[in-house]
Amino acid sequence: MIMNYPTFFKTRPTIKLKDPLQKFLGTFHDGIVEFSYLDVVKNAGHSCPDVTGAYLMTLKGLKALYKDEMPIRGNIRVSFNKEYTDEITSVMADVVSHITGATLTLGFRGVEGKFNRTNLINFNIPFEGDIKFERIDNGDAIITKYDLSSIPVDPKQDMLMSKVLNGEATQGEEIDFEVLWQRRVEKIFNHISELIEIKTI
Amino acid sequence: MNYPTFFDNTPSITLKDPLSDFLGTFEEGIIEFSYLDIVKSAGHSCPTVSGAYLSTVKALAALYSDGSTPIRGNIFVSFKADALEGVAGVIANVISQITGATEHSGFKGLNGNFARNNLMEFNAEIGSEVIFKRLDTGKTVEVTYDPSSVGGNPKMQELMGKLMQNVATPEEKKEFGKLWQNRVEAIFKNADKVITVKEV
Repeated sequence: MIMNYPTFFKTRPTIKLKDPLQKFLGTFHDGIVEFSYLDVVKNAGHSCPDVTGAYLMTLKGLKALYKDEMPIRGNIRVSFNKEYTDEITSVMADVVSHITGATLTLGFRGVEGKFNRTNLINFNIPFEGDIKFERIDNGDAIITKYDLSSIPVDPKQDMLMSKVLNGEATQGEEIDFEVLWQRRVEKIFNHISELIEIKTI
Repeated sequence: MNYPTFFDNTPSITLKDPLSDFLGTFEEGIIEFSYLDIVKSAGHSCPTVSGAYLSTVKALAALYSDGSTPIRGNIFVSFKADALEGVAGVIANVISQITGATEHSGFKGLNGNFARNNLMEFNAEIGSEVIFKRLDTGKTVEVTYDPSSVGGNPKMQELMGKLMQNVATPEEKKEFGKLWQNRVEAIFKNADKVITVKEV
């Protein structure tokens, strides 16, 4: 069995970070870790506009916070304005956690006060926008906002989706639905700069 | 991204994810995870991370010994420990990444399908540190991980102390990393000795 997926998963910008814990334990040379959209999709178990949005907000958010430097895992605090049980928030939080290493309770608790990855994600923090990223070393912070209303949903998509969910779709309709769904995700990737807004605070 | 070569020689884990299939993400929902995937996310390779990885490899093989492919969303995981205790969170993250099972986070489902939350519990009254259960058949396995038979190089402790106190030379730092990963590699080579799976 081979893993097959839409080709755009692998051709999109990746996110490179440094992880001091990786370096300490001889895992990655210089602690450099690279994440692709494919990586987060595997973990999330699906590719959808929410997973894409979280990936792109992390990509853009870290770029804004670190400019030309490499972002440091464990040095990034992440906040959401909703509860962690909120449907979209929890999917997005998992994506951001996967990339930045930040976790609420799970994750590494540190060695002698170093490398702790817990208590780095906060929920229910009031702010305007979707995800807040904060650098612990210098306090710089930005808020990312994701608005995909300019990327229309194909009118056929919802109809096909309910057919598939109700087990009434033909094989051809199932494939049509899958193609339409991923085509929208690909379109989102093609319009990153229009869809993600970054506000420095 | 450079890493020890043994990462690529460890067994990978193939699962089916019905949600991935439904949304046209992976053909027939087939997803493959490698130790490298897990290490990237965990932020490090260590005996705990490799133990959690191998526990999942062995538990899924036992649960799906009928030859079928393990299904993400069909696996319930229980831990004896509290989520905040020691390395329980590190282990839970590894297992969650592979099986998709989460306690609160993750996908909440669509028309009652594909939910990934409420598939993990902590503080469970169970006979081993972790158990995996197949929801469709009820088959359950206890997994025990004990790497004590795979000794580390005695120099590791001394070098680690030096590193933590910032008195290690660059060579000592490198040597520590190498010895640390040598032990992880040895754990993989002794997977059958360090992991015990028992059907309950």
